[in-house]
Amino acid sequence: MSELDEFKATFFDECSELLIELEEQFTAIEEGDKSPDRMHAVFRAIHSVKGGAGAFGFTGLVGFAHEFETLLDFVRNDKIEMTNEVIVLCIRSNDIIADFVEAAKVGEELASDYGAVEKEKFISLCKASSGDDEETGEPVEDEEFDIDFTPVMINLDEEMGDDEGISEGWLVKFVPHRELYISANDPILLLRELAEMSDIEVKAVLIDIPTLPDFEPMGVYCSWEISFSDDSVEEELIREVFEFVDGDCDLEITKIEAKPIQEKQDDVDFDSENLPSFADLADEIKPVEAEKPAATVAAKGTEQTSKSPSKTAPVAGVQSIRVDLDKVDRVVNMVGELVITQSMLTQQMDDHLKHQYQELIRGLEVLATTTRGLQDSVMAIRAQPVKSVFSRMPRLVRELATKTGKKIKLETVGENTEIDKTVIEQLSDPLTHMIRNSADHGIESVENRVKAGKSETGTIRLSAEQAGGSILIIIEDDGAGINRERVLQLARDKGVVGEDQQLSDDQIDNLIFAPGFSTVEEVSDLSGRGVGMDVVLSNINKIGGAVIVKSWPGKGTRMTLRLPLTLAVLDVMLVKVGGCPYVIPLSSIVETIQNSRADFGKLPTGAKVLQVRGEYVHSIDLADRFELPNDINDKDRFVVLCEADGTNKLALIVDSIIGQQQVVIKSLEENFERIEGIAGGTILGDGSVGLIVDVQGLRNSPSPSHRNVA
Amino acid sequence: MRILTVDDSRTMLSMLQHTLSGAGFEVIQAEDGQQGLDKLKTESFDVVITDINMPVMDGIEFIKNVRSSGKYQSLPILILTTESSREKRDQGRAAGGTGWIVKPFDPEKLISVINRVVH
Amino acid sequence: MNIYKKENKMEAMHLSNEAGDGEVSEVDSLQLIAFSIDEQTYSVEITTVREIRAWNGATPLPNTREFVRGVINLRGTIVPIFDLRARFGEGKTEPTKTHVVVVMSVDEKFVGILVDAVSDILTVKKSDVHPVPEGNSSSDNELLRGIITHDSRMVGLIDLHAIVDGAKLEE
Repeated sequence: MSELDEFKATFFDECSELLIELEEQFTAIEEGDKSPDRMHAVFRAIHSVKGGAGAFGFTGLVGFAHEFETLLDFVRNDKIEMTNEVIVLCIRSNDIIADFVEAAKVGEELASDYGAVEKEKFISLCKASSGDDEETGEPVEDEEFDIDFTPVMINLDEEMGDDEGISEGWLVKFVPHRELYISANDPILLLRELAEMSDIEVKAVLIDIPTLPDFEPMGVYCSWEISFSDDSVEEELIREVFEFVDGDCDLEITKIEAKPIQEKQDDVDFDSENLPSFADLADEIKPVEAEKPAATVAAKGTEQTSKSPSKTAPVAGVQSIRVDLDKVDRVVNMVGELVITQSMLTQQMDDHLKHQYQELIRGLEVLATTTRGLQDSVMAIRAQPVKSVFSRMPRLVRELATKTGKKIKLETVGENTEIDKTVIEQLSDPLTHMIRNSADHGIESVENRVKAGKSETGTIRLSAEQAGGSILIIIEDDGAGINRERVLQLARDKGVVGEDQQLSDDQIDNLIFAPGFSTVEEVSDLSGRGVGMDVVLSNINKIGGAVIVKSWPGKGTRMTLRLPLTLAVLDVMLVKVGGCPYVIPLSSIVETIQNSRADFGKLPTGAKVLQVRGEYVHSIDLADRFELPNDINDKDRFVVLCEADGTNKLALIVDSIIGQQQVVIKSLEENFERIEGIAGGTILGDGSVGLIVDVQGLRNSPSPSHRNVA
Repeated sequence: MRILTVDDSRTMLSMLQHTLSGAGFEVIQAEDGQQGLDKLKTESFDVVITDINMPVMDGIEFIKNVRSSGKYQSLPILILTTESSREKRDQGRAAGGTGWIVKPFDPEKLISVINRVVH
Repeated sequence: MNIYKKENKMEAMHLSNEAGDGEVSEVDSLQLIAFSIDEQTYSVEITTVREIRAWNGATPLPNTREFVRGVINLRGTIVPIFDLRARFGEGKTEPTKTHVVVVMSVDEKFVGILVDAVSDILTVKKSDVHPVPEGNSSSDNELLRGIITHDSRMVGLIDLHAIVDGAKLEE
């Protein structure tokens, strides 16, 4: 990546953060918190966006941001009130800024009139508020350099330099005031810069220097005369050298006319004999009052507003550092390997050795605990608040409400819940999809809601919380719930469900996850994009999570995403199937039962079920399902009872159960491809590959697809 | 030569870093005026470049605090300013700022301005 | 000359990992690694080969074609192993410690093929590679990019993509 690209990437990252902050701030402002801190914060955010955009030449963005910034400046200076109308305008403008940024990211330009309406509103609001005094956008032309003609002292010396005389040139008289020094400017540097421009002669005018008793350490007593021997240097350039000290000095630049060399009559050398006494002079010559630039007055006036606004961010005093994600990933990977190695070591100790080496055993146990702790800490480094994903949703809901003509409100809870960064990245699509579903199919039109006795505005509630070893993300709406008749009919039409098959409510609800299933005939551009709920489900499964749907007709629908706290490492039960090692995520396991004690039955369809505490649970023989040799005596085998999702259980029959382990999840798809019924791979203690059973996947398709073809 | 850069924009900080370290300066960064002051307490610098609009403590306050501490009279402070904010620039100067750089900045101009204010 | 026949536990042999997968050098010759299945000799371009190891078992993958032997752990990454004999329809291999897995890079993925033994490194001219004659078994046509005559042997040049495709059981 070129350096410019790197800076752009940093800028775009920063814009993302700023846009999130703007969203938050305006939400609070909308709810009535219009504190000055917030006004300053939103101003700064747009100001930063504009600044960066200017550096990269994103003219559309700069133009729009500039007007927005000006408005926010007026607001924070109490010149314009943040009324509801203005708030709405600002929220809309945030979205426009986001669009500009997105376009800039991909190198595209938006239409030249994009945001024109809002821009106009900004300009007219500002104009109305201020008349014509304030700058409303065009950079002010450089004002004329102030030339102060106040003579400060007697010109003691009319020497113009060498006797060779000068033809033409400049004479610069420079008298610094105290402020010049206080602002850490240094005459010597200015003189040096002049010297670089041309040959000059510099004379220090020291007449003002008082005697020691009168000498104030911070007093200003020197000035200089600089002569340029030719005028090839432009006056402008000379003045430019002094631009920083304009107002903090007296500067006089005059042209020297060519004149014949003549004897100077009043040649006064700086010679103590000829000088009037200091005492006399001291009386006559008073230190020049520095002109107070208007800015100082202004500075006093606006002192209130420029008082440091305290951070509106939640945590004060928490230090943080930025770290490259690559570095974190490396650490995470190494800790993962450490877990495997530690596991391997423990496994190598068979019972015999265990007796002999008590100390070693203890040591390994401590190692295990420490490794576990290390791992938790390392995973926590990568954990980030879900806020970053949640923050995109309000805008999404706004757009959906507009597009569907419904009234929809989004509530978010628990945005500070932390999840592993890699999980967060996977969340965006599923969340977007589910919220779209809620808006599309869940929330009813205003008319229908009123008819049903509900409030006009439907609510979608997005929440995140930690529960046990998982993160729960819940999308809940108070809409009409899943239309079960329609779903069932569609499923029958598509052949997903047999004509005569009866399904429970829960089973019907879960049909929305069936591959290729969509409750909308034409894939509308809202819920469509070829991403069905089945893809959502499989993506969630891939990261070790589960989706549970619950619906109440007329009342609403709730989708619960259960995600693993940490992505890379899994607590599993190691089992053997057909002589091969398989692992089942511990979080899915309810209990294990000896086959001989299990109560099996058969459904009329031929499907095997297990009867457990009054419940009938579908059961799958894994050796059969995975086409592995099945030569262990049935009664010596085991049943692992699992929870596939909120309501559905699944019984898996395995050869034997080896034990619990912690494993590092490795991708099968990296070098191969996805296999039905398998959620991924892992490296076992002995270095071999173990396959992770995809419990939910098996529940949904109990027999391998290639066998479904009758 | 050590430069303290104070700006709440990561983009600006990294561009300054790039330009200045390319010119041989050692660059230290701070995200707001308070952090800038903290850095000044513990390290020495030859020049400071600061933005105006920052959270916690803005540039004007920062400059005022630096000057009023009495310890940094000869420390040049350059203000990062935008074309259209003359008022802020003047405020910054009045507070004791030495000079300014307009952003987006031209790298060469930045270096020459620094040379103008630093020995 | 079977220089790489494995007798006992051996180090994995790392070969160069420069160049991409399947890249052919601009020059007019090819460097190939040859290996055998029964009496047949096959080869692949050396630039695609990442490693050669002894067979040390593999975890079988369910619901895959019979030539997908399973997966192994290659320094922390899961890599699938294809049984070349089975791929050519000549039956399943009963691998022993003397069998060899050639790990290659195909389309940015790592795959391994199980062969009886690796024999030599051959350098041939591109012009020595002849198209597969019609009438041969269809698997040869599908799976080979060409045939080379070397030292009066017929060496098949394997089409890696063809070997790897179609690994999952069709629905």
